[in-house]
Amino acid sequence: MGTIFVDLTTLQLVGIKTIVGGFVTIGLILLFNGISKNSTKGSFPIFLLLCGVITFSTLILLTLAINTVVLTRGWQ
Amino acid sequence: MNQVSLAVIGLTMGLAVGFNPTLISIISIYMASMIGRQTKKQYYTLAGLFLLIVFALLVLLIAGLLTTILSNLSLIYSDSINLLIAILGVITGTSLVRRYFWPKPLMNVPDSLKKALNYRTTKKTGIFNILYLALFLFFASLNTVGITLLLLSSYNVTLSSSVVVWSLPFAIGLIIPLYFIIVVITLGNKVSVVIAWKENNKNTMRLCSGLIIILLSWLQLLIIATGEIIVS
Repeated sequence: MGTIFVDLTTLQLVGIKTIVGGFVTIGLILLFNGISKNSTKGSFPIFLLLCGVITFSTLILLTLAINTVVLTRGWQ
Repeated sequence: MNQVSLAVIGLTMGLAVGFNPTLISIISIYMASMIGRQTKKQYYTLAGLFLLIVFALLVLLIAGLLTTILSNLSLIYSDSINLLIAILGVITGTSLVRRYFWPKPLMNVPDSLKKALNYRTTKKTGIFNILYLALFLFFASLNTVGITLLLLSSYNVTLSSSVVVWSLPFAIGLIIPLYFIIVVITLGNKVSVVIAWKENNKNTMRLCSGLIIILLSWLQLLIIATGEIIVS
């Protein structure tokens, strides 16, 4: 039986950094545009930017999750 | 992640999705109709509280059902289902964030449902009506309460925890903002003031719910990525 080494700390670090980074970016975008004002209503570029950040972070986390599932447990 | 963290997540999520414009509307209209019918103050306060308790029990029941279904799923599908639930959470969260920018919903509520809800809220009384209303409350908040329950049930299965640990704090957190609305109305504030406050803040409430659902989905992906790793 071969041994699979999974560096859990690195995975956790990348995952946590992705979540924190994603949320800080979303927060900054909303803050920059005035969260309490109506200035962002209907703003397509801002929404597109938020979607980009959400998709990017989701894809990184999804890759980590799929990687773990496939490497350590096999696809169940 | 220990049981205390799961309970705190449950309570936070309950509070976050409890500030739901649709739920606040239904509760406010129900209270307004009771006041309009000259019902005594203690009766309409009790009726509102009873409605919230029935709603919380319904949420607990559905949490238990979802957890049972997910934990009894065949192992062949468990990983795929957990990943799909996380992706569904991100999509639902993004659609809620969209409504901060464009409040118009992607799908309109059918007129028949609106009429039924109006009938149940303003015309009917009694215990069975409260059961119907609790079901309507759950159906109306399916995109926030429903998806959060699904995500938390998925957490529960991944972390092999007890369902009560998170579902009870979630149900309590969910009804706290709604109970606050009942108290505000009982204290003599006009329902129109509550409705106006809800109208002014509904997009921000949706934005917060959306972002928190996205955060929960990301945490679910992180748990799948780092938890329960078997090295052989």
